[in-house]
Order: sequence, then C-alpha cells, then structure tokens
Amino acid sequence: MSRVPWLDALIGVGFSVLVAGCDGPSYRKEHIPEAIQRICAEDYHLQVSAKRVGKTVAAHLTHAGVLAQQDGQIRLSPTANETLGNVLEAIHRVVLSSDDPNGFYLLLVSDPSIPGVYLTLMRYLDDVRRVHANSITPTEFFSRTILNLQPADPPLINLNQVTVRDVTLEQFLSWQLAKRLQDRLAERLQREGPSQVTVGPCAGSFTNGEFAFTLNVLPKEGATLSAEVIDQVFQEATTVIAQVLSAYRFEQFQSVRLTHPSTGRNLLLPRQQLDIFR
Amino acid sequence: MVAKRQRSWLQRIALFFEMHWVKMLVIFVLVLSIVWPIMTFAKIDSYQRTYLHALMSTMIIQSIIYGGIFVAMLFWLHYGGGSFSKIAKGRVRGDQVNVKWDEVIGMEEAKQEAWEVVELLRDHAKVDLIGGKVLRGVLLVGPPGCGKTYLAKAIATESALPFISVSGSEFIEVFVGTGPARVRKIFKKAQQFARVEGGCLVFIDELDAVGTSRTSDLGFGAQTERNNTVNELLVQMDGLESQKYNIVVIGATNAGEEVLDQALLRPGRLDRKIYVDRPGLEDREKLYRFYLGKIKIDPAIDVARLARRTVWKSAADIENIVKESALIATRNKREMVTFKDLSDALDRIELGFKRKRRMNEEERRRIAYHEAGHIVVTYLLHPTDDVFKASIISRRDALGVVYHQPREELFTSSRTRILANIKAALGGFVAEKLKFESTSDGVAADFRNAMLQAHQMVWRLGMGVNGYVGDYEALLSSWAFRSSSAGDRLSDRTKEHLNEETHQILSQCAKDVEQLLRQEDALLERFAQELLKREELEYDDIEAVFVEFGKQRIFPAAPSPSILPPPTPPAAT
Repeated sequence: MSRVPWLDALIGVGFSVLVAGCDGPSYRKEHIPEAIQRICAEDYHLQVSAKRVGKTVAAHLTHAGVLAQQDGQIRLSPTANETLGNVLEAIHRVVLSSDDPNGFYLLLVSDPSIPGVYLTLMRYLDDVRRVHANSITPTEFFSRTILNLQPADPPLINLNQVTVRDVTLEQFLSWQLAKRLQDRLAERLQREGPSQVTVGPCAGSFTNGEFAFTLNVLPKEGATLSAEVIDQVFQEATTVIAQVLSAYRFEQFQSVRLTHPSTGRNLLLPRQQLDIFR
Repeated sequence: MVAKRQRSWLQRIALFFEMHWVKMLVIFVLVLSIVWPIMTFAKIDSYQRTYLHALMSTMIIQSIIYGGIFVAMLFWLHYGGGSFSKIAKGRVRGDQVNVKWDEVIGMEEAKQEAWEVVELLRDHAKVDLIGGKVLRGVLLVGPPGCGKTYLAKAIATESALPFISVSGSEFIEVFVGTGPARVRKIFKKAQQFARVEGGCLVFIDELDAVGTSRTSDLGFGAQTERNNTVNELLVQMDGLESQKYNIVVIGATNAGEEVLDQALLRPGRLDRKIYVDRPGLEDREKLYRFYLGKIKIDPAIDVARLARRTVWKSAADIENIVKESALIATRNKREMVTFKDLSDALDRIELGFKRKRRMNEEERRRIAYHEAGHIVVTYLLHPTDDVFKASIISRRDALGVVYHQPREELFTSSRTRILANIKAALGGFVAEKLKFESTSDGVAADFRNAMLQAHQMVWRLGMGVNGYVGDYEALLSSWAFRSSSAGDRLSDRTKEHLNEETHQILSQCAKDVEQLLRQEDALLERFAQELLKREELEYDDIEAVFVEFGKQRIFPAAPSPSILPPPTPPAAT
C-alpha cells in the first residue's frame, strides 16, 4: 500500500479497467447468426435472417422501401441508408467481436414491393477493420465493397432460397478486381473525351493460382477499336490489378491473365512482372 | 461515575447516517461513477472494448507526456534554466572585471565613500567577529554617464569578489512570475558564489526599472507583477537565507531616491548611498588627460580650457568627445588630434552637424551682425560666461550660434547673471535693429529665452524693483489643459503689474544693450566682418579681437594677438 490513498484508488480503477477490457470475445462463432438476428430485432426492430458457412456470414434483410425503381433502373432508395447502416452495424459488431473475426460477410437485401431482384453486398472483414482504424479511406472502402443486383425468380423472401458458399480471399479479389476494372476503364475512357468504345461487365476468376479477367471493351456501332486504345486498356487494367493486389499484400498467385474477347488479345503476366506496375 | 447511555444498533446506524450522510453520499457517488463505467465497459462488444482499451492506453500515455511537458515548462519558466528566468549576463570574477581603483577618475568624493565599501567587504569576517553590521547594499545615484557602473566594477576588482551584473529592465517580462523568478535565480547564484569565494556582488543597473514604489494595480496586472518583483528583491536582500552569505547588492539609478521603494532604502538593504555626480573642473581635466592619453594628440592642446568649456559634461560625454575628435582627425587625414578637432567634436555633439545652406549675401550679413551682437554683449556684460565659439554656419534649425558657457559649475544664478543672460539674448535683435533698421524672425528663440528669464525674475524670484516679492506662480491654478484663469488666487491687477514689470526689465535690458552696441560699434562691425569672412570664430579668435580693441577681461588669460590675421576694414553694409 502506498501512503497516498488517491494513488491507490487510481491504481485500483486502472486495474479494474484493465481487467474489464481483458475479457474474451463477446460472441462464439457458432452463435454469430443468432446474435445478428437478435441485435437487429432488439436494437433496430428489423427482421434479419442469418447463417454462417465456413468463414462467410450471410444475412438477409427483407424490408419494404429499401429498393427504388427509377427510370427503369433499380437502385437503393434514399431512405435505405439508415436501415442498411443499422444491419451492417449489427453484423460488424457481432463478427468483429467473435472468436473468429476473419472472413467475409454477405448481405442480401430484398424489397417485397420490387420482387424480381435483390441486392448483394459483400465485404472482407479486414477491410472493415482497416476503415475503422482509418488505415484506408471511406472511398477506398467503398471500392472494396462488391455490390450486385441479382434477379430473383421466385422472389427472395428467405435466406434458405439461396445457396451460400464459403468465399475465399482469391475469389473475393477476383470479383472485386473485375468490378474495379470495369469502373476504372469506363472512367478512363470517358475522361479522355467522347469515346468510340463502350465498357461492359468484366468477368474475373481465380483458378490454379491464376487470376483471369475479361476486359469487355467494345467499339460502338460503326466504330473500330484502335490498337492504341487496346494498349491503354491493357496498361490501365494491369496497373489497377497490381495496385489492388499490392494493397492486400496478396502474393498467393502465379500469374494474371487478361483477355480482350473482341480482338482475342491475350496477356499473361507472371507475378514478378506485375511488381513493375505497383 | 457517569453511566454510559446504551443505544441499540439501529439507533447507532441512524446516528451514524445522520452524522455522516454527506460523506457517504459523496463516497457512494464517487464509487458509482467509477464502478458504473467499468461495468458498462465490460458489457460492450469485445471489438469495441479492445478499440477503446487501446485508445485509452494511448490517451493515458499522451496525457502523461503532455502533462510532464507542461509541468516541466512551468518549472523551467519559474525555477529552471529556461530563457524566461535566465539572466543574460553571466558571472564575472572580481579579477576578471579588472577595473583598477586608479582608473576610476573624475569622482573623488564618490571614490572615498566607495572605498569604505571595499574595506567592509574585505573585512567582512572581522565585522562578523565583533558583531558589527554587515553591509548589505549600496545605492549609486547620479546622472547618466558619470561612471556608476565603472565604480561598481572597481569595487568588485578591489574586493576581489565575483560580480553579477544585471539590468533592472531584465526583470520585466511579459510572463507573470518571471520577475520574481529572476530575482530568486540571481540570488541563488550569488549564494553559490558566496559559498565558494566568500562573497558576491550583485550589481543591478537602472534599478528604477524594477525598484520603483509599490502601488495598487489599475486592473491590468502589470503593477502587481512589478510589486511582486520588488517584494522578492526585498526578501532576497534581507531574508534569513541571504543573511548567511556575504552578498552585497549595488544598485545604480539615474532617478532620484524618491522614485525607489522606501523599503529598498531602509537600513539593512540599500542603506548606503553614494552620489556619483558630474565631474567638476579638476575632475574633467583629469578625465581629458586620461582619455587623451589613449590617442595621439597635439602637445599644444590646452586641456584646462577644454575642461572649462565642457561644464556639466559627464565622463561618458568627455569620452565621446575624445572619440569623436579622433574620428574627425582621421577623416581629415591627420595623424594626431588637435584642439580644433576636439572643438569640432564638441560642436557636433552639442550643436549638431553643420549644414551648408545656400543663403544670399544679405541674409548672411544679417546673421553675422546678429551673432556679432551676441558676442559683444555676452563678452562685455556677462559676469560668469565665456564665449567659446561663434558661427554663422547652420546647425539643426539654427542659422548661427554663439556658444557661451560658465567658466565653472554654477548652482545658483544671481540677478546680475540673469540680467546678463537676457541682455546676451537680446544682443542679436538690437544689432539687427541698429544695422538694418529692421529685425528678422531669427530673433524668435532669443526673445523666448529672454522673456522666460524676465518672467521668472519677476513672477518667481522677487528680482523686480516694484516690491513684488514671492513666487506668484504658486498662486496660479495648475490644472493641465487649463484654458481659463478660473481657480487662480491672483488678481488680474497683480498679474498686470507683474507683467508690466517683466516688460520693463526687457525694455531696460534692450536699452542697455542698444547703448552698449552703439558705443562698441567698431567691435560689432569687426566681429560681423570676421564672421562673414571666416564663418566660425573660436575662443582664441574672439579673445584676440577684444584684446586688439583693449577690451579683454582679466580672466582667463589673454591669448597672443598674433593668432588672428590683421584686421580688415569693415565691408560696406
């Protein structure tokens, strides 16, 4: 005991905080789906179904008014941000505070008023941790999120209607890169003035240590695709792939294959060669 | 035996609560405010908890670092070696100061008193043994440039004690508490030196910057800070701790004693006062010989005349004159300093640089006669002053000048002297009037001078002839910015009489001067011509003309007439 009582008290408080903070994970991995459902129901009054497959947690939210149809296109409604934010918050809380906080989560969002489609949102948990720690910017975080609008026939009303697979990092990166390539190429070609080309969905896959991407850049009707543009497309795509893989410090691959279907041009880049573009 | 009253345990608890309910409530709230957050903290999700834990740990470390820096800065500010409490001047050992007693010249009386201080410092142990009072402080008072610092250094050298020199203004800083902190620091340092070397001298120059009387603050805090600095100085000078050591504070100030805080002057503090006044005639001679001894000079330089010409000049002024003369000699490519260089240096310091203005001949003549009038009247009528120089070269705003000074320090002025001053001032006006039958605006400054002196004679000094004795200005209300005579205790009639007498004095002086100048027309003419021809006349030149006309005075001795060229006939006016 020290002679100063307040110092003893201060040490005691500090120790208590330390002990309180050293408690184990809040959720066992087996109970993650239940925990998400409970938090959504109790804290936000949202009906969410959830399941866990391997390291991937899937949750399904069906909520009226989440999606909106405008000019023939379906997108998230302006009021969906809060609802989706609450569900994502619940997923983050549970998954990150579990005893297995690594992997992915998949959120399926359907709207009973727009029954033919549902929205999928996929994220890597390490990205969530990084954005919380300000290690990456919110813009980059959003770029790392895979958002897709999927057709649903019959309408999605239950998570059991879809088959949830365990996602691997290689798969996640290939899908993310395909989406990024599409966005970046469209942006680049648009930035360089009225273009004679269009950018369609770029497919991405990972098989046997090789990333394969299809660069869906097509000439507009009546126009031709010059060799110079194709060079630019390949160079831009290579740069994007090199930067993203570098940012993830992902090195468990041998090569990257880029294919341009309309010209049949094919580029195979070994991993070492890709380093030049970082 | 008193039986102890038995209480049930319920009563005891109730009594305890009644007596200590406030304490218990405080403790309960305190415990709750600690336990509740900890419980809440334990309940939150592990990821958030880990994040907060990490954040709090960082915050604690940050707080400790920032708090440590803050406390260190405060310590540094008030007690440490930081720049705020740091005193710029370092300590100097007595033998390093190296100002020998013989080198202190021009202040014989002050030196005698200072020698006692040196002896007391040397015999500090003996004084202690016989139980005598140990010297604590010496106050050197006197005009600027008279050698107070020099004397202090000499005391340090002779007593062979360490010497810490600081300026009073060094205690004044923008930060609160810096002044007292610096005082503490100086005395701490002095104590250390005193422990090692048996004593220490702390010299505070410009003591009035820090030691003025303590007054109440006007609300801005500056005076409080100053008061605290004075308080700290008082405590350190006479504190229990300081009395153990042989520390003597020497304060120097140009301001009078009345400006300083009275507590500083009480016995046990700066109780020994030494007046370091301006040097007298003999001291000035010694100072000139000392400073001229450091440069190459013309052996014919009349040091005694230099000393006479520089009445009221301080030792620093004399040093400056000698330095300036060396510069002039160098500029004129001479290898030694002549009397003319010294005279020019004095003019430059006293009157300013010469300005070569283009003036027409008529104006030059008018100025020459004006200045000649001053010369003749001053020389012939003034009982105390010598004319050292006359010039019609412009300096500052003056177009010409006649430089006259008393032969020695005079501390009073007789009626004759003041009248002579007035007449000397009117000499230029009368000369212009006689020669040109009209006067110019060049008389304005002379008139102002003459009128002020005549006014003083009548209003304040009882030197009139109509029986008005007393200081009548004391009866005037003295409000600043006063625009009327409201509040005066002087009748308008009396004022009129006094003013009339002032005018009488002035007009009588003007008449006397006119009579003199008519009588000495040849002298006036001669000086005007000399000035037009040579523009400047030195003491010897002026004296020679008077000798030539048989008008020389007995004192000082007349110079050889051969200095001047033969007289030339006056130019046509």
